[in-house]
Amino acid sequence: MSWSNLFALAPELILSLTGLVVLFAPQRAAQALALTALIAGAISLPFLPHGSAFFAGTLQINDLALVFQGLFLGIGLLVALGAHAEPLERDKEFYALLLLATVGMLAASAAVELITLFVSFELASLSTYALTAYTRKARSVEAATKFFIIGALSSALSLYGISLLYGATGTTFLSGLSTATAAPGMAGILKVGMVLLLAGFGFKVTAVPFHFWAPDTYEGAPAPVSALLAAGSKKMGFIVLIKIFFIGLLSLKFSWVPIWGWIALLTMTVGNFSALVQPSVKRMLAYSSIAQAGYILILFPVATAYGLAGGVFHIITHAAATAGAFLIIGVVSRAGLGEDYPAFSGLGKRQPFLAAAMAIFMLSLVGMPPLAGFQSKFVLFSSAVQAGLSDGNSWLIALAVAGVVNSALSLYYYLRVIKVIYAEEPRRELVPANPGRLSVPLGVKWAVGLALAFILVVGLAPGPLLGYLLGAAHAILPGL
Amino acid sequence: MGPLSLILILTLGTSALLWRLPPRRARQTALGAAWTVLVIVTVMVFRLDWQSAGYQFVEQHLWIPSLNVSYHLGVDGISLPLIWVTALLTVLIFHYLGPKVERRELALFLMLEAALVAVFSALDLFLFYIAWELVLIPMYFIIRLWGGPRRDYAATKFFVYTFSASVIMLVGIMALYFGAGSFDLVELIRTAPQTTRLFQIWVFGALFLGFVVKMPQVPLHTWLPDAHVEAPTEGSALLAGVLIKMGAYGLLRVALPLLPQGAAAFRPLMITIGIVSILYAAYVCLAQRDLKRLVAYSSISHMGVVLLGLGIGTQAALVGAIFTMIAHGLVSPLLFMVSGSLGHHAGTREMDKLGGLATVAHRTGFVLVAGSLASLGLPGMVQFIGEFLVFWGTFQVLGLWTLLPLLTVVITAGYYLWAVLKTLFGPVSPISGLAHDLPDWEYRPMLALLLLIVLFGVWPQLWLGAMNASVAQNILSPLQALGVIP
Repeated sequence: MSWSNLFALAPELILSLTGLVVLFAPQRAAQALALTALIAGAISLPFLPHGSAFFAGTLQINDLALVFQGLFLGIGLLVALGAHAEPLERDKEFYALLLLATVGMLAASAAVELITLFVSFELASLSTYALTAYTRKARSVEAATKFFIIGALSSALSLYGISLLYGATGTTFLSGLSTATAAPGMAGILKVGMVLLLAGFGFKVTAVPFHFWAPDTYEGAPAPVSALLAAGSKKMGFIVLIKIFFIGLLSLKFSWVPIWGWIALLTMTVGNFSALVQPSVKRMLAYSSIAQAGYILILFPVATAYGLAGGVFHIITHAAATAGAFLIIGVVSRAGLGEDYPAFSGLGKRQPFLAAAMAIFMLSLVGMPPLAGFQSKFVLFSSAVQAGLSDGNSWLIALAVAGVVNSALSLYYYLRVIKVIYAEEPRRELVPANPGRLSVPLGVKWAVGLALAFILVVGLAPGPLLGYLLGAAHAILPGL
Repeated sequence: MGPLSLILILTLGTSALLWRLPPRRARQTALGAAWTVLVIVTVMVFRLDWQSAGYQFVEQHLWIPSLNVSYHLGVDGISLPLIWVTALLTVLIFHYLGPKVERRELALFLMLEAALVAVFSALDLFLFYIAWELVLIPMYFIIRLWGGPRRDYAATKFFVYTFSASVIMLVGIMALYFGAGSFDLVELIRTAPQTTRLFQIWVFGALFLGFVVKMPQVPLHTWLPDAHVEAPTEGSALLAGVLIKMGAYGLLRVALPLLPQGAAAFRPLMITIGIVSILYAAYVCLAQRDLKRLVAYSSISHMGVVLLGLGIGTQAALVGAIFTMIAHGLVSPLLFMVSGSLGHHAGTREMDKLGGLATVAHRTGFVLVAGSLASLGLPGMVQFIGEFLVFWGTFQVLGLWTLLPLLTVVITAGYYLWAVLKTLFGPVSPISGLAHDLPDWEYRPMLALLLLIVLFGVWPQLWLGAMNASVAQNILSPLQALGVIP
């Protein structure tokens, strides 16, 4: 093992060491330490050895991995900044767990071998189980228990799937799988393994019918943790699935394309219709993130580089908007207003900045131009139209139509938030001591401001990011 | 930087600035910006070269290289009149709103003006779609914040209804991009007409759905009466004056010239929907009690004339359709302003409860009578010219069948005269007796509109020359050059 191996793990090492140090550091320094580590990790990204494989070929840094590592560090930063959106008592453990969860996500982005992938995934998952319960409120503990049981089940499924693939092909490397599955024979076992992996990781991305845990968990978790789950750990599920299906199992494309098509359609539709009827904004956002996962899943049936770029683009813009929105919900709920729609009434007067940010996040989630959410949805849905036109797979156009119709439907519940914020007078009184404005921790303001800036800048100038993503996607799917 | 970008920067910049100004300064600033835009657009109108084909005042910068999207603006004799009406109405609405206006309402109107100018000048479909959707946000808030009792329902219905239709249109735009290879209208006009017939029919269908809901036409019109009745007067004026023209403009600028075979397949449907809307909406007008609702339905009827003209598709009919858009853009805001003011000053817009209002409120009576006459197509006023051209074009194609849509002239005269009779004349009702007349700041914008209605009615050539040239050069001749139409 040479030093360059360790160098490729620079962000992971920085975060895990800081995670340990935080536990013994003074209470006050914890947040600063965590932030420093995350920023240092982000700074190290451009210097990582690009392209070659490390640790016996189990890790590889490529453009796609870097995109996701950047995303996870960014989300980690938002969550660390916004940690006080929900009152924290002992926050050292919070930051330590957050850093470890981020380490898991970073390693999962770089892993190109199934066992490494699984272990990284589990590191992130276990940390998030603990984070979900860390306030020790009954509702959070219930959410965490549910999350843990479902998570354990899905891990078992994935591991079983991995073992079947290994049994059939004799390798756990994605590149090896890719060549082994291209050869004829063993199709039966491979397909069973594929379905098990699809189900196992499908839980993480809340694909219908594996989504039932998500609304309860997102609602019960403290708001910053909900942000981490929706914007971070769910997105880790996507990068894992992208690698398994687009690298390892690409030659089985014809068997998984229709399955993913149906799952995408069901996920967006079920998520949307459920979100319509939720009385709680937090729960609505949980269902909305299921619907958005449905849009993102379109990238699998489309299976082109342009579609992959669109999917990853939407993963990023959705992560920023939904993380920001969860933090704002946390602030409102922290003031004792609750999480239902009336809690947000008159937010435009109480907290003009947060109100405007929330409105813009909602509009970005709808896909209103010229925000980032529009640009990514445009690329994603148009990739389905393109694939449908060129291959004669006209059902993919139907999938694009389903996507835009679902977006139109989703306008109803996103708009409801904006309406309550701006058009209704504050109905619920705040605590008498502080009747006017909400108190907002400075870190939360910064976190929301960063997410907002990202949404606006990418909306107005999507060129550079989109160009990079297209390059990364073409590297994964050359010739498609 | 060209004048179009200047307008966009001026309106958006002022709109952002207004939130920070004290209320009185805000009104002056907004008025200043709106007047400046009107002056710029008026100068552009006079400097527009009728005889040269293609677009003028063009600006083009690459925006998103990986999608080949560019910030591409330009106008011709079809879009510039619509921009001029937008600028004019914004100025008049700002005056109409009077001294007590809220600054955020002014800011929203300027945002709306910017989005509308962008819709009418975008030459890149990606940009066009962005502007198209951006119109919704300020209008939603204008209805939701200053509307009537059912504003919540009406604003949400307006937003969801038109957004749903326009996302289908977006799929059509995506298909055009991949099928014909570009977002750029100047390029598309060469490549898109040569795609297969089946492709054109599907894409035309998707675009048509988005455009026809915006117009709006029967049976997809139900958002409009609600939106108009609940919207504040100034919102209705711009909604009827300009927003509903977006659909017709989109058909004319995008769907008809790019997809001639699709248009040919949809022509019978367009003509049918046009005629049905003309007659059905006029018939529904007869049953209205609320004056504003009546004006709303009459808008659907008049937009039916526009769709009929677009469906017929000859030079005369197309020019007539565009001129009707301009005419209706002046007449309907006038009627919405007077019926809104009347409702405010008399306390109700129920025609049965009013009566004899003309003896109490002379100005209201004058404007309502003049506006009604303009709207029913009295010769010498602007609406007559456009409708005459459309029906003339229809006659050339459909012959005596033209009598069917022409019936509307009788029905329209009927419901307007009846409305005027019930509201203004007869014995003075108790409610009318207590009504106030129009204050100066409401009366003057209406007079300005009336003046223009008569001016363009007797001197239509002011617009017709440019429209004629642009329809021939930018819509019909590219298609003739490709041999897809005779």
